[in-house]
Amino acid sequence: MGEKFVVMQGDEACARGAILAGCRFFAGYPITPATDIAEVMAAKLPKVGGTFIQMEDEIASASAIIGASLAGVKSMTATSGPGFSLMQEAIGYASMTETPVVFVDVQRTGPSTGFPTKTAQGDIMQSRWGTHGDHAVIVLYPSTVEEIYRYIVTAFNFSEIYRTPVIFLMDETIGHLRESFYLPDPEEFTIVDRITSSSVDQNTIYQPFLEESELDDEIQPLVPMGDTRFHVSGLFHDESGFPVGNADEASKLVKHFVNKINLHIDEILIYDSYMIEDAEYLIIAYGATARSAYRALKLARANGIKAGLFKPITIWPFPANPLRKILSHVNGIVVAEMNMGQFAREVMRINKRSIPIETVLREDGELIQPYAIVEALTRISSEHEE
Amino acid sequence: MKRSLPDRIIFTYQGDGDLASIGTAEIVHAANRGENITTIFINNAVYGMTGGQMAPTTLLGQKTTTSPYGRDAKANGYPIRMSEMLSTLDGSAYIERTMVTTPQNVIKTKAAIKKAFQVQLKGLGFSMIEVLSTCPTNWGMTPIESMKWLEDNMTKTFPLGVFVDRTKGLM
Repeated sequence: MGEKFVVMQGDEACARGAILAGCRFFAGYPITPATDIAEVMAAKLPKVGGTFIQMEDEIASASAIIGASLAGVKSMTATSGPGFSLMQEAIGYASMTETPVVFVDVQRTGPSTGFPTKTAQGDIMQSRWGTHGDHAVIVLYPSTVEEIYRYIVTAFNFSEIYRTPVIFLMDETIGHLRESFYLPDPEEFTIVDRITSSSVDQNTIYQPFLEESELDDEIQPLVPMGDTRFHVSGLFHDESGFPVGNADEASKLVKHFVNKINLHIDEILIYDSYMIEDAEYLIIAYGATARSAYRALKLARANGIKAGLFKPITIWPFPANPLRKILSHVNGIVVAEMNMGQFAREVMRINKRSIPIETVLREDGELIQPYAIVEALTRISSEHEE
Repeated sequence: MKRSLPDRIIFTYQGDGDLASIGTAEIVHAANRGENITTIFINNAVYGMTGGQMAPTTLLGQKTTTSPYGRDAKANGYPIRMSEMLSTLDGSAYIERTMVTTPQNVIKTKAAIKKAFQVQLKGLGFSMIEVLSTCPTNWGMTPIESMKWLEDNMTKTFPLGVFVDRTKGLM
């Protein structure tokens, strides 16, 4: 078996899972509620031959992990809302240079420094659109400590496969939660590693990016800078990485950023659904709220309301197709989230049949309790029956 | 604010994590522009509010939650001396470092702070008082032990004194 029953804090699971995924470089800046990740990295990374650096701020932290990753080392930073805002420029640079990096954002109540120790899910849109310009991102959102441990590995794998920044959103509640679970055997995991220099053809000049004709869903392997030499730039560039000023090439590059994610959406979308088969009413919730929603589902079923739960792990790209399938057979939707309806708006965009939607929202730093979701289900089901 | 309301007294109260790390660029340029404000800079060699992480001012060898094996210059760099650094800028009018371990030192600190505000009242430029202080909680010491540790260790890296004084003949 090799499985060990453990009690672990969410932030610690994030750090330990990242090391399991092969992360050997961490740069960060202290910020509640993400500091514990840095503290675990400071203690553990030197013991596995990795590097921990405390940087002077989040802008420097984000830039450092991009540099380390281009040098061939899997890299991560962890922050919270105010720091995540500072990192947005670097996220765009990582998108443009197609550098695999993982940004962890343990959300707290905002805007600004808000409530440092209180929970929130307010960074849904910032994780998608925080940096300027068109680009695609992958955002994963765990709801338990075990999921943090498992999906941070997935985050690193996605970043390597698609050569993209991956954002790992956590709730303060789950980051600080101590929870017991069976620690999965490392053998269970698939770890995607960077291509090595042996696969580079020594007779040709290495091109870090795709040629114009190949720009679509293909992904150019990224050889570590130490094994070859190449140019990267935040400017629009050709396959050599040097800037171009051509509108047509710029357009193709932007479309490539979007397509390389969207054309692989089936491999990227991860979600769980509960009691969906006969569901008449659907709850949509993620992260800590999904745990309240699961309890609400049980309570509603006991009250004779046929509820189901959809819990996305991948929140970006938006799980439109799996949701559309479920929406085709339900009479009402309840979206519960700790913000003023950021994910709910996306659900409304795909709700072509205009199924009634109720939202259960909180933006005050407190968790959504199951009864609030049950009340919404009761309201929406009694309205349907009238 | 000072530029918008020049007749008001404007001061900042900043810790070492702020002034010497995330806010370094801003304090350097505020001083360099000779902004007519006063900064009270509290240096306790650690991030206190977030729970004891390494600060830019953490002493070599000092253990914190993000330097669990002790601050190593090769991995973490050296303690940064902000007062000395800012005193090289022409916009800095008055910069002094004090400590608050004894009643006498508190009185000296009060005098230094008074002078810094007088510099602002006279419109002479940027003034800053760096105050060495303790953090018993994150240092893992009693308050009395902390004050001794400050005097025995911190003052070696951060000597007390006046680093720049461009007020002579003007006050």
